[in-house]
This record gives sequence, C-alpha cells and structure tokens, in this order.
Amino acid sequence: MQTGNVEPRSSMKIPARMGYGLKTAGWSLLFIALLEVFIRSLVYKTPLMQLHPDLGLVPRPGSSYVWGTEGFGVTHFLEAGEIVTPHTEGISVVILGDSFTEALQVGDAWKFPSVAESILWDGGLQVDLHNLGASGRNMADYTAMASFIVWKYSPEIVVLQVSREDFIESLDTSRPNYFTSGAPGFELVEQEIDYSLTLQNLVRRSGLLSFGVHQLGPVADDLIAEYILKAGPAKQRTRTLQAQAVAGEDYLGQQITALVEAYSGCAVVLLVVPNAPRIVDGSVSFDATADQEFVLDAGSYGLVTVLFPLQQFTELYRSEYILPRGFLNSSPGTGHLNREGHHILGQFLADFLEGVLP
Amino acid sequence: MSFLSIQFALLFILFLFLVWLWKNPTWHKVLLLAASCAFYAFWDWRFLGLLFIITLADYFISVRLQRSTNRNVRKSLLFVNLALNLSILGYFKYTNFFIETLNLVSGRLGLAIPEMSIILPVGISFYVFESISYIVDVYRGVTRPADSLLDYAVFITFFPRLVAGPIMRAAHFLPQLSRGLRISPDQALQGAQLFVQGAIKKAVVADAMALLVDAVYASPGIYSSATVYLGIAAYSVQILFDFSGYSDMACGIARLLGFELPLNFNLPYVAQSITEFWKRWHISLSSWLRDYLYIPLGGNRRGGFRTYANLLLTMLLGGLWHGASWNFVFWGGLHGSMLALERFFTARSASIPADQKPAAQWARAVPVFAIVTLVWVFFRSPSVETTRLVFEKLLFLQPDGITWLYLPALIFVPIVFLGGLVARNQKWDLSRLTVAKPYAIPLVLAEFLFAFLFAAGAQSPFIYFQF
Repeated sequence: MQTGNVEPRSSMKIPARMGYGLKTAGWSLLFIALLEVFIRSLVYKTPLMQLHPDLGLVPRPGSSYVWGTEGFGVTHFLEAGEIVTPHTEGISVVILGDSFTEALQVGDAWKFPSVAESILWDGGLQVDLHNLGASGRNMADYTAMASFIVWKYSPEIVVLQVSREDFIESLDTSRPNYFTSGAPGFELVEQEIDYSLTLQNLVRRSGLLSFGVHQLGPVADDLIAEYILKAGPAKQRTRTLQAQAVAGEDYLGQQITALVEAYSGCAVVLLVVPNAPRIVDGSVSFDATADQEFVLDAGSYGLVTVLFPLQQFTELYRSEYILPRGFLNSSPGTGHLNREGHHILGQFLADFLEGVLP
Repeated sequence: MSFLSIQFALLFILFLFLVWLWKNPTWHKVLLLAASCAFYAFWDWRFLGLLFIITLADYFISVRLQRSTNRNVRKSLLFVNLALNLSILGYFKYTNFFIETLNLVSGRLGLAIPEMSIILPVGISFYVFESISYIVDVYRGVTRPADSLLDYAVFITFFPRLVAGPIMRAAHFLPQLSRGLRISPDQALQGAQLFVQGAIKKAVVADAMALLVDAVYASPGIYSSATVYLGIAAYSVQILFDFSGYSDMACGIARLLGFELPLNFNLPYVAQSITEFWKRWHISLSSWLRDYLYIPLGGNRRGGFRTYANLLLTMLLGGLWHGASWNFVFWGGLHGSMLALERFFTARSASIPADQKPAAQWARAVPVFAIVTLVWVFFRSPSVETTRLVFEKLLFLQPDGITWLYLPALIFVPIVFLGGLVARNQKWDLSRLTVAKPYAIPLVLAEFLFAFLFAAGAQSPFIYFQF
C-alpha cells in the first residue's frame, strides 16, 4: 500500500502550504456561499422569529418565508405572525389554522384567506381577513390565544381551519398549550424560549443550516427510532398513545365548549379541508368518510358552524381532472392544498361570509 | 447493503482501517475477500455458498484447462464449466419463467405445473457472466488462470461491483490485483468524486424521477397523455442515472482502493444510431454479448442474413438476461430488429461522417432518444396490460386525465439530453481531479453536502439489483 505521496503538499514549503490552505479555504467559502444563496432564493429560508407574549414564537414583522420543497411560495409576515392579505380595511374576520392556512406552498395572494378577501371586495363587501395560520397549531393554541385575538382584531367571526387531529394533538402534554384530558377546561403552560443567542437561532438564520435540519431531521429521527429505540417513528407512537387516551371521552365537546367560551362575542366557524379526492391504489378515491364523521360529530353540539367543501373539491376533479392537493414537485392528491384547492376553499369561504356578514 | 447506507459507510471505514493496519499484500487480498463476503452476506448470506461453488469450479477447471493440451479434454472442461454456470443461472432465474410459459402454452390441455419458491440471488447475472468470460478467455488463451484461488475469489467477489456490475474481465482485473492495493491522495479524491457524482445521479435525480415514473406506471389510466409522455421520458433519465450512478459509485470505491473498473456508460442518449447507443449503454454487458455470443455465433462474417439473425438472437438473449419476462424479451427483440435494420440500411448508404456540426449531431440524436424512450416502455411496464394502457395514452386514444407536469422531470429530461450533447464535445473530466488544485477538495465536499441536502425523500432500490 502506498500512502503519503502527495506531490503538491509534501514537497511544498511552509509559505506555499499556507497559500494552498488559504486558497482551499477561499474555495470552500465560495461553494458554501453559492449553496446558501441558492437555498435562500429558491428552496428554503425561514423567517426571523420573535417571542410574542401571547402567541409564543412568531415570525418578526417584515420577515418572509421562502418555501420550495412542496410547491413554491414566498410568505410575508406582519405583526403577530399575521400573513399579508390584499386588503387591510373592512369588517374584521380572523382565520386561524395550521399549515393549510399558513400555506407556505403558495404565494400570499393565492392562500385561501387572500382569495376569499379579494372575492368579497370584488363583490362590494369590504372585509379584512386576518390570516393567522401557523404550522403545528392546534385547538389548545387557538383557545389560549383567544383573549389576544379578540383584543387585537375585534373580529365579527373567527374561522378555524381544523381536523380531528387538531383536537387529539391538543391533549399532548409536551406542547406549550394543552387540554387536560377529561376536564372541562384547559390549563395553559407558557414555555419560556430564550431566542437571543442560541444554536437554534444561528441555525434559523442560515438557509443552508435550517434546510439541512429540515431535510435530515426526520432521517435522524427515523434512524434513532429504528436502531436505538427499536420502535416505529416517534410521531406515530405519540399519536397512537393520544388516540388511545381520548378513546371513550368527549374530548371534542369539551374542547369546542372551551373554544366557544373563549371567543364569546364572536361567531365561531370550523372549516374542515376534505382529504378527498386523492389517489388510492392507482385510482382516484372520493372517500372522505373519516372527515364526514368528524364534521357530523363537531356539528352535533350545536355550538359552531362547520363548513366542509367536499362537493366543490369533488366537482373540481370531475369537471377538470384537477386534484386540490399536490404540486408540480410532489405527488398529485397528497400533501397540502395547491392553488386550485386554495381557490375553491377561498370561493367557498367567501360565499359563506357573504351570506352571514351584514 | 446499499452503498448509500450507514452500514456500508461503517463497514468501509473499518475495511480501510484494517488495510492501513496490515501492510501485507496477501492480507489485503484476504481483507478484500472478507469485506466482499460480508457485503454480500448483508443481502443474503445463504448464497455465499453459491459464490463459493462457482469460484472453486472456475478456478480448478481453469488450472486444468491451462495444463491440458488435449483438445477434446479442453472442450469437455469448457463444456462442464459452462453447463454448471448456465444451470445455476437457469435454475435461479428462469425456472419459474419456464414453468409459467409452459403453463400458458399448455393451458388448454388443463396442465398446470405449480411454480417453485426460488429466491433470485442478488448479482447472479453479473457474476455468472464474469465467470463464463474468465473460463472462455482461459480456453482461448486470452488470459492465464488466476495465480491463486484467493486471487480468483477476490475477482469474483470484488464488492464494489458484485451486485450490479460493471461486468469485469479477469484479464483486466487480475493484473491490477497482483500489483496490490494502492491508495494515494489523488486516487482517494478521484474515487470520492466518482462516488459522490454517482450518489447525486442516484439520490437526487433518479429517485426524484421515480416519483413520477412509479405513479405513471402504477396507473397510467388516470393521467393525461402529456403526463404519460413526461413519465416515459423521465424513465429514460431514471434508468440511466440509477444505473450509471451505481456504476460511478462502484468505480469510485474501486479507484479509492487503486483499481480501475471498466467504463459502463458514455453519454448513451447522444447516440446518433441504435448501434451507437449500444456502444455507449451498459458497455460492459454489450461488449460481453459481442465477444461471447455475437462473435461466436458468426458475427457479421457469414453473410447478410446470418448477421441480422445473429444480431436479433444476441439482443433477444440480452433482453432475457435482464429478467425472466416476455417484456424483456420483447424489448431485446425490438433493439435487435432495429440493429438489424440499421445494418441493412447503412450497408447501402454512406456512413455517418465523424466530424458533424453540433446541429447535425442533435438532429440525429433526437429521433434515437425518442425511439429508445418508447422502447423503454416495454422494459419498465410491469405487465402487458400496463404497456397497452401507456400506449393508449401516447397515441391520444384516451388523452384525458390528471395533468401532472412534474417539475423535476421538466428540468432534468432536457438537461440530461441536451447536457449530454454539449458534454459530447467537451474534454473536461471531473473524475481526474487532483489534490494539487486548491478547489478540488472543497468541490467534492460541496458535492457531498449537495447530495445530502437534495436527496429525494424516499430512496428507491437500484433498478439493476433485480437482474
């Protein structure tokens, strides 16, 4: 075996070695800078964050999110993590929701609250829709932020884009806000986050690092689960445990009651995004039984209005072969809503608001 | 064990450490053999015995062949070895295909032979062909038998190319082995460059294409004609980058250890004829088929009709080599027919001038790429029914459906095709990097980072592992 015969380095004198080292370092920086620029511009750039006393960690006003891993969109943020919509005047309506409302996959103007707002203004109804969607939020969060929302926006109507998952995840005691299972109310736990000079802060400021964490984090989780814990993915296990915990309890009624009490004075509307049509085993399935059951359950208490645009989603496919989910760079029928899905949802919401607003 | 797995990385680091620890050349060979056996055992340890049988039989028969001067004895030895190798390949790969076909033919008689439960040993098609080429070369006097059983065992099991090629020749590898392992910084850098180039091809491009290709071939009926067209074009990119990516990784690992593996792909989609395509696609297989099948059949030395028949037969068997299915046979038959047609017409017209302008090169490459892409449909379709549905969409008989203009395919299909045409006229070669250049190490590291960051979410198995 021959080793160590490195012509350029072993025979180089110290100044030459230093020159070589400096040039190598320069090239390294150049390549990293190129990757950083590419990722920030087209793939992934997280917004700067700040700790809000009522909402927890939210994007700073003026910052933006570049998202290009499933669809492509640039999202701009206002105060309290509110996402920019076309209009800022009119009757106040707040829209809360998770990643479907935040909709990083499409630009600001294509998100369903913006679509609805534009349609209402075009129809002569001046409504100011506040898009407060944020990935990962659930019922406990929406309930916990009620006093702030009512104080800040004085909404006539609060629309919550929800699914059954949001109710189940609200029982997860590891989250900043959660409902205690079986109790009529909820206990809010505020988590103190130091966001001044932490490693997390550093990671978030770099497109390269934050995208790396985004890409490799789930892989690392799976590896740990597979080889160290010898179990399935952690998220799945947690959900199974939560589902077992809620079995037999009226978690839905308790949480809806708490929500309506928290937003007393406003009309509360639940908006459920149908998980259909989608592709199952090589054919298009229109089955949304689980969603329909949830809609019936949530509406059975008579406390909230539940909106469910299944027919509109189905019609979109039947007339134009368009699925409301999926993008040019992801599988049709899966993941988040695409522009067409947002448009249908926005139109549906606008029709509803037109009917109930003065 | 895939090259793109943590297990492989750990095993390879351990291997390099032991190579560094023990300087003795014989120990290096033992280490190579042990690492190769461990690598293969991760797939299925039960088939190590099969490798052992082939190795022993090949080695001892080759030694007898070398010693014997009696023509009949030599022929008998060759026949025994070929019979053994082909029987092993036939049993594991083609038994159920034979039963299936027999049942299909005799179906009307009510005869139904039950299929057997046979697991296909990974890489069997590759190492059986290497074994055959070794014995035939020794028989022809092209190469000498390996110096020792250990040398031959290392040749047959050499892990970088054990499960999916390139198909090596003993005459190419054994002299390198006798020189011993040579690890130099330049070779390590070049090996790393080849490896990461292969990883990007596989994990970033081929796996991204798989998302569209798998969906389209799973249910072509629900997609529009435009999406199906994009899907079949994406498969052309997927199979090239999947297989050439694996070959690059294999060549990279081998070069890191001081070995050169044969070139397996040379911009196949810039080919200006089907004949040229086969000189650029899976070169180690096509040259094997040429040297050990086409030429022994008579090649082009026995007149026009025999030449066409030999081409057709060679490609039919080449198709069958890929898999025990009529789809592959048909695919091989189509290529064989096109090769025969090309030979028929080129024999009657002037040959293509070598120094064409780029525009002329492109004009000739486009139809070849289109034909190759269409013929891949037979290769990729899981069933005759799927093939029919795909062609219905391609012929606009049922054009409606979901239009999914998958962005990575829209980007990579033209880049791969047009990029190949540009690269054809360039001289640069990243696989010849040297550490003397200050950008070389940062470039390879940046490529590793890129591969990690942009690897497609789900890693699909290498397509050629199934053969």
